[in-house]
Amino acid sequence: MAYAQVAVAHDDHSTHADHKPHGWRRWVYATNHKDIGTMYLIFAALMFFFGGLLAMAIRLELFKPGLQFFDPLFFNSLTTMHALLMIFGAIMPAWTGLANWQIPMQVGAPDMALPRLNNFSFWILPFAFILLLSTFFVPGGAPAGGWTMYPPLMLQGGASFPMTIFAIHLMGASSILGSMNVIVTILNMRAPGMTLLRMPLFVWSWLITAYLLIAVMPVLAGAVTMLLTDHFFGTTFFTAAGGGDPVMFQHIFWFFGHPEVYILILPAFGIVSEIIPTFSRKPIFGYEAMVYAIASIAFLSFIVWAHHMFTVGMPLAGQLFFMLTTMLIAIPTGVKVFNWCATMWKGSITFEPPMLFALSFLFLFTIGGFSGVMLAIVPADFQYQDTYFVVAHFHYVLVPGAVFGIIGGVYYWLPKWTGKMYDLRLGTWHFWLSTIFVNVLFFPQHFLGLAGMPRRIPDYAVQFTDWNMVSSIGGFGFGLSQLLFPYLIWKCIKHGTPIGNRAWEGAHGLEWELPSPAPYHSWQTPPSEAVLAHAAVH
Amino acid sequence: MTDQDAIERKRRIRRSALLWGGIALAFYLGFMVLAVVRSLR
Repeated sequence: MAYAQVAVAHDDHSTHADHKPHGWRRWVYATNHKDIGTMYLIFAALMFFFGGLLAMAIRLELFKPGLQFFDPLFFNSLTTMHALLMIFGAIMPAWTGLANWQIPMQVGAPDMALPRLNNFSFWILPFAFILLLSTFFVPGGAPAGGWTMYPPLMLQGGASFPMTIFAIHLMGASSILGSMNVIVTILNMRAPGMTLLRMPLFVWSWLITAYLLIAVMPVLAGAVTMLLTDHFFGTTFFTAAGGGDPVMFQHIFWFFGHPEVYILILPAFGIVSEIIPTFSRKPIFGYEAMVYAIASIAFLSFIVWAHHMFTVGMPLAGQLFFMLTTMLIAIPTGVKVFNWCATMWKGSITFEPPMLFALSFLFLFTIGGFSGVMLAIVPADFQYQDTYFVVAHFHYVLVPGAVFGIIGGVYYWLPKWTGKMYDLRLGTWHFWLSTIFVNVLFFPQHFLGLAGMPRRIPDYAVQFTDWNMVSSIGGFGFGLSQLLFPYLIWKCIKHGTPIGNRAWEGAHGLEWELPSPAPYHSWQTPPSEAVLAHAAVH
Repeated sequence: MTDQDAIERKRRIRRSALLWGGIALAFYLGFMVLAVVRSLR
């Protein structure tokens, strides 16, 4: 058995310090990083399943050519809301939840630096998403212009338009406040001796992500505010008839949008960099190179935005610049993939669920990366633009990339959170079903895109039928297999096997020096140099 | 950690929160003001 099963009575010395509030006050007035982390994760799970239902509705409509279930406007609302829910409601809050749980434990702090701000940044979110979801019931329906909200289409929205923009402002405010908290915690709350280059890579990845968020969320806020004034106050930022330029919106949006993509994936890099060394029983290969690679990817994310819009007609020099900077990203990403492989080289590898998800991430995220390099090639992109090839590309990056990173992270730290080991067999089933179905779902979309099937359409030409059917079957399979995840977590909490401090025998890091389940307040006394040395991650 | 260390850490957290919060707020309001000022032209 690869995990350390220890009688709880021997090492549970945490309970005496756990004076936690009870009842609803514990959650509404929460200032504890673990409680807030739990709320973020539950919220993200709810949004993931609701966004997933919308995705299944999309695949249901696309199972056959012709219009079966939804009218085209509602179909467009489904794709728009699916994207907004998954990006802003599921993936981003899930990362913040993991950050809340792990960062104080990993840097040797008792809690986040700004606990009340932490409460505020979480509780903004339910209001933002109630507002966004209520657009399904207003005249004109939910927003249908795509998550990119391009004018002039977005400006033609009904009553949902200002509600969507206000919801986006709220989500942006929540993200900025959360990022501030992460930065201040990491820079000020580290235990004595925990220098920046001794921090676990998950903490590093989140520090860089937080800077990205602070830099680009205001850009999105500015862009949507300009949309709002165009719609209600007669301005013409993006209206050609009044001297404005709709393409300018695309530039501003993607100046936010590309770093946003890295906001979604960088914490997954951090998690995979925690999981692979643990289950290879070796320190991470090239720790400093990993830190510099994340920082390089973050820097490059600011100078590649126009690769999302090569077909708008930009000067050749612009096309070349954005093509080459985009391709440059392959270098630090290649460094990371190489280092993950080198970490496993001659390691004593075992395949528990977190490692399985990390390995799946490694293979499948790399497929998404390769199709990204294909899309970066300007003349090729002219062919791929707005086809299902793009849909396949970003879903490979975001589902087996970001989502598998989150699932891997939960499987890795769940024993620390609950003090119990979950059903590893069921976790392995979850892995195999997810990995098989995610490929059945998204791989055929490459073929559909290359054959010319456009994205964001409710109907298609008959020659695309077969692969659409395969893709839809994959979608239903993937969606249903995700139900195993909450069941497994519930089963772990109720009937899991008690576990010792170090749930995985190869695990290093300060969180594994704490009792399991982790005490309510993490490090009330900072860890000693001896504990730091014992927990060293490289 | 001595009381003095705790007070010093509290001070550092406050300074750091003001710095990064200030930068975030400046960015946020900056873009908003830019949008509104441009719209008034």
